[in-house]
Amino acid sequence: MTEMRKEWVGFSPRRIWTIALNTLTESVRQKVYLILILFALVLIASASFFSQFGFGETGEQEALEQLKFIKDFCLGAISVFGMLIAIVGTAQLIPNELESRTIYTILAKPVRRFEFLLGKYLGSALLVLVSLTMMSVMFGAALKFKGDNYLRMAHESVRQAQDAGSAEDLVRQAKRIHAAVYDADLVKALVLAYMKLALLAAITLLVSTFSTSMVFNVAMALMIFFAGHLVGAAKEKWAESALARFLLALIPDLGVFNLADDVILGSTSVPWAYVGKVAAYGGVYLIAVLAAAHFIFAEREM
Amino acid sequence: MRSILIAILLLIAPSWGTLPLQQRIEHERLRLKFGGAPVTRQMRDVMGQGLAIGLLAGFRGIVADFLWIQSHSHWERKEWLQQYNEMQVVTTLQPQSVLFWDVGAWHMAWNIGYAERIDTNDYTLAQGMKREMVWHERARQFLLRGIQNLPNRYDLYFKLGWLYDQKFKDPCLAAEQYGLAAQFADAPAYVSRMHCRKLAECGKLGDAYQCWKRIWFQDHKTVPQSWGIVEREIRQIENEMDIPDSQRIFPRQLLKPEPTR
Repeated sequence: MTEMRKEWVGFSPRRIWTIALNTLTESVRQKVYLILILFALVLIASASFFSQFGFGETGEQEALEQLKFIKDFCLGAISVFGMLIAIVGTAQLIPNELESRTIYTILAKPVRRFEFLLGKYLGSALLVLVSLTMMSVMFGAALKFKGDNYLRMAHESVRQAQDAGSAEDLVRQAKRIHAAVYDADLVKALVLAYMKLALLAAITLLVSTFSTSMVFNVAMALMIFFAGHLVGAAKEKWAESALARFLLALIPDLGVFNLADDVILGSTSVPWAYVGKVAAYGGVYLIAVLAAAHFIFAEREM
Repeated sequence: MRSILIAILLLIAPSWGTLPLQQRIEHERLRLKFGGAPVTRQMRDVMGQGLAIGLLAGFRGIVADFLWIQSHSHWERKEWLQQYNEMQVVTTLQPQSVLFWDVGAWHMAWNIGYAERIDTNDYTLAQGMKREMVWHERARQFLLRGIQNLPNRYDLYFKLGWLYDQKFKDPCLAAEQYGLAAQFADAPAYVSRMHCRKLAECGKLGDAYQCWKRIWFQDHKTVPQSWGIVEREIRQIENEMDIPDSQRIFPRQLLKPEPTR
């Protein structure tokens, strides 16, 4: 315990930041990452070429349906590729350092294990942030490209309206399309998507503190990802069982971070207070997971 | 071993520590009607194993969209019941989507209903008409379920009114639904006009007249409305009800005598 206390003495944010930037640079140079991000960007950009998935009765319905599909598809792609980048990008960090034996050189210098771990995590979180930002920008562009086409058509119809009544209805339709394209709530969905991925990266890092195989880390993180989405349903089903409650407590409820579906449907506006609560929940788990990772890593034989 | 125990305790701590926060999040999710129904065995049978896994991974929207697109393939192959089942699953997955309820009911009442009626290869015309009515009823039930899920949107009340109007040929029920839709601030101007019109068709001329008057006495400068149509309808109903000139909005114009040659 005394050794652990010593870990906190002389704690240096600069060292952590250096490790984080180094981790980010290394990760970005990896072929796996480049392929993943390239594939994600191409897939998201291709959404703007969807043209046959609207089955509505009216032009407005068709436009709204089409925009819904684009948003679902893009946010789904962001979620899948974000998850893969978070897991693959983090799962290899410690095993690679051990394999190349660079970890011994780093830890031999005045770098504490905690600083090393936090630096690695921050690097990974930055990688996820950079990737998510790139994917979000591409998503915004795809949505704007498609949405602006519909808006142009809607405004043209308004110009050709016969009387004030039908013009008013067409203006209303154009407003609905505009609201579907320029929906500020999408930002809230992306904020929570990032929180989820950052938490997932921390969980993957925790797994890699006691495992030496990257494949095991990835598989374990994927299982936790799926299990995390079932926690909500499982809690309802096994509310009576103490053992189930204990096991479920180990995994954060990742389902609460999924805001995309509800934002896209737009039936109600999502309050920032809700986003704040979910972010606080994620933040508490994040700290706990990193602390747990530290306790295991601090005592790991190397 | 000690560090592992500490790690487990650390992982469990937030779950207990954030219990009030979790309850507040859950409460808010219920209030905002976030998420959809949980996956049931029946739903999994309709959507298949692959999509069920997608659903469990949190891709509810994509799964719903995929099933929606698939349901249209069923429609093209005239597999009405498969299409119907998938529409039920889609709306269970995303009950807050106006589009799914709206377009789904339209498919049932208009497209499938008509296709059933004209399908004389398998049925007689009388059987076809009976089967068409079954689909009208399915569309009605579908919209009623939609309204239960989205009571705060005008769209589905209007669509139900449209269904009563066009398919059930019941102006009284249509008027009732149009009336409910017209109460919403974001309802288009034509909804209130249709409400008044159907009241008249239902035989409630007095109510219809009051309805038209309510529209007419709105501010003509700020409320965008087809005022010409409103005027025409009011004139017509005033004539039909034979309202005295003194009480009319548009008194009968005295016919000028023909000039003598």
